[in-house]
Amino acid sequence: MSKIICSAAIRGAHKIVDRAEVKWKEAMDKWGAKQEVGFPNTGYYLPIIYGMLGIGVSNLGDMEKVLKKCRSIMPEPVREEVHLPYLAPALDAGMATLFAEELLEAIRMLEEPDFYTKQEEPAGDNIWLGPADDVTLRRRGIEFVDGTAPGFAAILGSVPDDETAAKIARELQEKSLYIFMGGQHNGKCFAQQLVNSNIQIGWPTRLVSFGPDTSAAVFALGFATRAAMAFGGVEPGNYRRILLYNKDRVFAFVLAFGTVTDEWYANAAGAINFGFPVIADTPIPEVLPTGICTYEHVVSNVPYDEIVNRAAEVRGLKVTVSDVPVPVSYGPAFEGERIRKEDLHAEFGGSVSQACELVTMKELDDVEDGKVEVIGPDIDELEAGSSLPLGVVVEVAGRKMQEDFEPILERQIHHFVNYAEGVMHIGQRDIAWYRIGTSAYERGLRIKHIGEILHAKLHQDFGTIFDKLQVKLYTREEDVKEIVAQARGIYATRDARIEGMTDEDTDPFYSCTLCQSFAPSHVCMVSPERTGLCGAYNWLDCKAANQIDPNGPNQPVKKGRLIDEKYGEWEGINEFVKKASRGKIEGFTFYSILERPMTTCGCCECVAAVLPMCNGFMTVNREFQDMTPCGMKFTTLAGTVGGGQSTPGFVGHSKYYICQRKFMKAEDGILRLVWMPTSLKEEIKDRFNKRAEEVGVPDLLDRIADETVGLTEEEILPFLEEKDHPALKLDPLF
Amino acid sequence: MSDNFEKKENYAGEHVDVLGATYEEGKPTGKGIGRWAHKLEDKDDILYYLRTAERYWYGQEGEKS
Amino acid sequence: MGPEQKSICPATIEMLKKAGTDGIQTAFERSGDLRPCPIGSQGTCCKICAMGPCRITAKKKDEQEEPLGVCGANTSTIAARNFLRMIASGAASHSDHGRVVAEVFNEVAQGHGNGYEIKDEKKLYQVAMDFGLDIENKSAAELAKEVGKLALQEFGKQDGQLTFIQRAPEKRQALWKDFGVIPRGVDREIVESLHRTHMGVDQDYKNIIKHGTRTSLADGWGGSMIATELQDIMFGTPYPILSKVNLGVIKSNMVNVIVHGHEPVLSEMIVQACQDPEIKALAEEKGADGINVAGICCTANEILMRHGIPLAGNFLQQELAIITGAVDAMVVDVQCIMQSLSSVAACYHTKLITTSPRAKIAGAQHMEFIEHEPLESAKAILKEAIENFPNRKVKPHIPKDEVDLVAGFSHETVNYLLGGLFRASYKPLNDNIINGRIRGVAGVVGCNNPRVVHDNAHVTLVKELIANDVLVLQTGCSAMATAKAGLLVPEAAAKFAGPGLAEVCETVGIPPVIHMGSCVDNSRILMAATALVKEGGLGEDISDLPVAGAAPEWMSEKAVAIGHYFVSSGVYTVFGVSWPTLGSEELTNYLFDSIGKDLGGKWAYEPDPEKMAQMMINHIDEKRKALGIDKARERVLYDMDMRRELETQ
Repeated sequence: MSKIICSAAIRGAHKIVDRAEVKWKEAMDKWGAKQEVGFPNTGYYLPIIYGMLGIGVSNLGDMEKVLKKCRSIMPEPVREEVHLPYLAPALDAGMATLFAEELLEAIRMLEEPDFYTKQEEPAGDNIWLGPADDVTLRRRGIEFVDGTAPGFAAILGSVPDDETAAKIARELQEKSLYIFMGGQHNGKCFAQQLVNSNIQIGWPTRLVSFGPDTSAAVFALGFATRAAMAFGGVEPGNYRRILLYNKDRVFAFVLAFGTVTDEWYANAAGAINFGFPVIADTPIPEVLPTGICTYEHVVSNVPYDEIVNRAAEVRGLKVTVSDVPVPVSYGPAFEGERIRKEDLHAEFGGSVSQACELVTMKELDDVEDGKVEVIGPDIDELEAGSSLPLGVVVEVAGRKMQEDFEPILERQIHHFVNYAEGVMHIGQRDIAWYRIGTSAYERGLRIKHIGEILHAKLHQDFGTIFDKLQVKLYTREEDVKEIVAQARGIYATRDARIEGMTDEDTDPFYSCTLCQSFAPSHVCMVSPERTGLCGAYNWLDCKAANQIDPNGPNQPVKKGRLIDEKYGEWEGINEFVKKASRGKIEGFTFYSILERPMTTCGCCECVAAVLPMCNGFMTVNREFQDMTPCGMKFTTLAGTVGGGQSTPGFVGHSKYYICQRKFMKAEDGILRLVWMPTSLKEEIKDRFNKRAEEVGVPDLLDRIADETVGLTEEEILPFLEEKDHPALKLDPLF
Repeated sequence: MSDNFEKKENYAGEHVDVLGATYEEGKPTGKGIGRWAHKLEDKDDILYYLRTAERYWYGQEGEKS
Repeated sequence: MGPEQKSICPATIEMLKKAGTDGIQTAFERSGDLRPCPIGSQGTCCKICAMGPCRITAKKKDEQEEPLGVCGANTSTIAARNFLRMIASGAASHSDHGRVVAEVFNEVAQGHGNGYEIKDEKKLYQVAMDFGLDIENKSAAELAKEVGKLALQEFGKQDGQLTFIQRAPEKRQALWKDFGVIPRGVDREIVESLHRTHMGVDQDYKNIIKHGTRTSLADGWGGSMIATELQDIMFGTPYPILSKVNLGVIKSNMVNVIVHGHEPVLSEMIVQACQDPEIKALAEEKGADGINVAGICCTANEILMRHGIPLAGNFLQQELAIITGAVDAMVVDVQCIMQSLSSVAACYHTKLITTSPRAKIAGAQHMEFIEHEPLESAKAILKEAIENFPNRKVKPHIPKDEVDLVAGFSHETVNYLLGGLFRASYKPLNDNIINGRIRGVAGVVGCNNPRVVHDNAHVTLVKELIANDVLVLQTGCSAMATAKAGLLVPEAAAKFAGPGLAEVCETVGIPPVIHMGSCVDNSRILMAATALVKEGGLGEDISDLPVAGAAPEWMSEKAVAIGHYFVSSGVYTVFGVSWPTLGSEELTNYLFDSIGKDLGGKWAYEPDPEKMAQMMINHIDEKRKALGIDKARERVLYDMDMRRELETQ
């Protein structure tokens, strides 16, 4: 049966490659070879082409070699009689299809710059997002790495009615999958069907409307390709590894809804190269023998109510859906959902009332596991759109429980509450803000469910560090006020405790090799005064993680003999690093950017780089997409220093680390910081100013240049001179 | 042969469009149409392919997968 | 017995009838007239010294004494010595072929190609890597020089081990090493075979067979493999190609040149020379519609695999091709060329042209192929054929039969076909063996033999195997037999194969029977088997694989050499027709049974192709059971932790 498929795929591929050639010639005539092209804000050029062929397409002229490659791998059509073997040619044609479609999409973006919103969400009437930029890639891709998202469903076409679309989307979301949508059937797009059903689409809800054409498939597969490069540390051009990485790690599949055309088949052939099978709702031929994919390659004629489960089974995907007793869907896919004012049933906190969260340790006898109390009125008693104060007090007890773990558990509240469909959670501690939507309310969600979610999820993920957990939910103003006062005291004590910890007084430090399955030689070391570069793990987190899973990626490491205090180097650390990096890294320093800096993986929040002319360094956060004074954008920087290397002059770090006392201590710390983006300045300004005061330059932040001053060293130097930046008076860096 | 859609009955008994055979008529013609190794364009391409696709003998990282 | 009882090939039957009418005697008749020597055929005729020949019959039940030769040699020793000599001769044939190729290769590498060239850079790098050369920093031209030199040295090496031995699965190499059978040099093992089988030397049948193992390995993983690899470098590694088979490919209005024998060195040039304008013009001038080259035996397979040149027929059709009266020249090189061609050709206008200094035939015209003037030699031969075109005495009678086939399956091409450029791998094949769609893999190879119905055993066996979901790999005359029966086209899968195999064939677009080339190209089957092992999931050695081999219509000593290197590589191998050690129960038991303990593979004999198929299938099923893949497996679903465990290569 697959003769039909391979024949169609090859035919479709020819059409697409031909079209790309015509389009390219037109574009060349119009703009010339030098005309820049590319997807927005990415260091991966046209990512499938870059990943598979190692060719970085940055202008129209570069496309010629890609088209040549397409031609060279394109096979002859399949013949009716005594045909030659067609599977391999069809797979090759599938890859040529993807290359050609990337070219077509890039040319389209040149012709119609506003065709896609280029954001994480629809803008106005335009629901088509286009390719993910690197910020989205990092933020979302990491979920593929840590297992929050097992993979994605790439949907082509549309289903007969909007309700079915909504139902399928929710089922996929419940499996924590991303849903990438493109193409149309019967003039309808799946993404539009979701919009019609009043469903919030966009990256935050994992319902990603890439584009209206079949060629939007390249945005999904380009995302997969980039994930292998960004998180798998696979170098561009290493096509086989990229494809196998996806087969083994990214559990994605294609859902073909509607008439499967030869161009769909061509794209499907491309997807099969990644190990992504195709599941169709129409009775197209099937390809059941295994080999390229883990199980079947093409499965067809599957009813809508079975198709999601069938797809997961065909892909070999086991999804452990957490059993959380709530009347709405629950899973990370719902984390990014917003509740708009008009959909609001009730809210707590924010600007309208006070909400507060506190996790606190109790004696074993004082806690009744699973008990959830709502003290005060529930939301039944409210008019739609009104508000209540809320105090969420989680009391835990257990032999292994420590006070240090309280903030770690507390931080989870944000995610766990947000996972419920129709519930929005922002902030933490005494600035928490909850919204419950009308539909969730209508489906029976009440305040007690917040407690039940926390009980179920905290037990599931942190059950090894406590034995019992109960939740009290206060909704009377006087109670909440009291709790806030009590909580603020506790927050202050906690902050003082972690702030008070020093590297000198602490042993052991903790390792973090969570990313090692994706960046094999990378070893993070986390000390109290140097938070993990991803920003997600401080020393206490690592300690807790080690308690939860003693054989896991966070191991206590005895510092051993101090080799150098200024640079922050210890014998025990170096020995561990050498072993854990399998001999690739001999050791590193904690506090230096110049002298064997710590290795960096692809997950870092910021990258610092030396600016020799300014006698200092800059740092740039992931969200900042423009050029920086070191001559590289963040993505290029991350590409240069990521992948587990130690690169003198560059180092990846967390945002939090900037205001820690040991920040680049060996090179005089923040006194050398001469440039950072305004957004980063804004984000860390309170802590930064405090730290600036400690080093004796209270207005340091104002003396640091940013993108409004300039994007080159030449541009910012006069500003630094004018502001009398302290770095200029320090000893020369070199 | 161009697009060749047929009506086929799906699981629900509805008639939907399914693409049928799109083969080129006759038997394969033309010299070297089954050739594939030319898709490896230069020495780097070839060596990469040998070390990965023909890893059973020329792989640098073992034999599997 | 009429022609219909002698062959299942319609063109053959038709030509046998014509032979009768024309009064031509063929091997088919002679085999009826001449019974095989009963003592010789069971391996117990010893003629290695002048005290004999000693024709020993096996001990009868009522006999007390073991029958012995004059020197006291028993049946086991005699049969084992004869068996080893067959292996040695077979290995010598393949290897001397390999040597000729290596010599030509060296000429090309030195820049004296004169028409030959380094056509396949990829294969050059492969072989250069096997020889441990610095491929990164050396040019193709430099590497070719070194490869040529080293390849030629393999023949004369005195110690160490043959280079290609390291291509085998590691466990297999260890087994050979422990058992002491790793060949040192090709020539050395063959010379030692002849020494050991001289009067009064090696007289312990197991020790004799052990050297047979070493010698056969020097063939399969030595001489044959060198021939295949260097031919690929010069002429290209085969890729899928469509062609036709059977006598119908001979065209009455064209100059028909039949190339026959085994080496592609000359035939490649003949194919090339046909494009020469001067030659084309000459053919036209003589009133022909062009030149039609077709092949017989493995020369045919070589140019089929690389150029799609049609196959006129297999071994037993060589005389019949001439009987069409349309063959203007039959150009032969070495091996499997019947002397009778000379007399058959004499009855028609056909010129029989011998070209190898190693192989002259009384009555034939000898036009020696000069290796450093290959194109000139080829043109001279073609001119001879063209000049002969007007001399046709009678109106040709050519059978209509010509059947399509798809060939060109080198082990590299199979690897590509299973996953494409970006994902090439044997994994899909392994997967589908593991999941049972494909029950196992069989190599069916070898000759024709007029002692059995022509092509019948090949076709019956292969049909039975594929019907039972066994994927069949073929070479040589065996492949031609099944090709004529229409098994080498993709459409055969739905028609003849079991449902599982058919489904896989449909997925990949391949025939259920895979033509891998000439008889030296059995080395490709060894490589494919090695890939199956190395891909994983089917054990650690070739002897763990659910595979079996067969040569159901074998006749040549080369077949014995091939069979033995398959057994020595761990493959259960079944021969048909007759078995050359039956005169010694002890030796036969060893070869059919306990040799398995030494080598993992063993021999079997069964003339009935249906029973043979059953034996092979039973063996495959046993191996499946041993691997634990005889029962359906549950689908494994992967969670995040399991995915983290997956090795990404």
